[in-house]
Amino acid sequence: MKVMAIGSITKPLSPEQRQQVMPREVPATLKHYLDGKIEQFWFRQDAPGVIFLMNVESVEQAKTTIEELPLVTGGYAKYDFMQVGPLAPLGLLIQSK
Amino acid sequence: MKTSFAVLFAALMVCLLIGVSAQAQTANQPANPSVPTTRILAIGTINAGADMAAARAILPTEVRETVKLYLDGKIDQWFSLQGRPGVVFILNVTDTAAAHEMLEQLPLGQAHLMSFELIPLGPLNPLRQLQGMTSKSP
Repeated sequence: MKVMAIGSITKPLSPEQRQQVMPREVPATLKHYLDGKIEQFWFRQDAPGVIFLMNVESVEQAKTTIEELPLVTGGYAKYDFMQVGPLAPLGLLIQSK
Repeated sequence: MKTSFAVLFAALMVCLLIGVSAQAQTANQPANPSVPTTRILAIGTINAGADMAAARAILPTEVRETVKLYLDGKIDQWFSLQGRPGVVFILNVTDTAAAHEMLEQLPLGQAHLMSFELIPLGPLNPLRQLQGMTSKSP
């Protein structure tokens, strides 16, 4: 199933904290992409944070995967999760009369 | 009097030099590069208290207009929300105001039955910090 994960920074990082956390956060995130769990990723331009489109077995798996990342375990970020699927109303275009 | 003036002048010069060299240092360091806005995430939900029957009646027209936006290249990806009525679009639009205008023109928007939360998106800037990106070796 597909899950959108919307991440926002809740506690801004000092330059020192950034030096500590980001060298672990970015490779960990990239690993999830290479494993196929994160299908697409973007940077937010409205506020510090990220958006991931995830390919997972359940919303719980999405949460477990993301909440293991250093920014979450360090208390710097929180994520909202939304399960998404195919745009169902497109089915109206092929309804038999 | 002359001595204290000289001391003051020297102190002033020292301050200026420190100021100038500090500025030179920060000028030599590149400002944190950012990323361009390349897409907009649009999360559409039915407004609280909306007349669901009215929404259902409008839906066929909504679908046609949404497909037109897709065929015009404005909608890059589209999804339904699971568990509640709503949609997620990845728009091929980079201006949030223009995206808002465009989505408000859709039938459900015009009927004030649906609203969109818009989040501008860009490439994942932190990839720049990966060890392999800063490697000096060819």
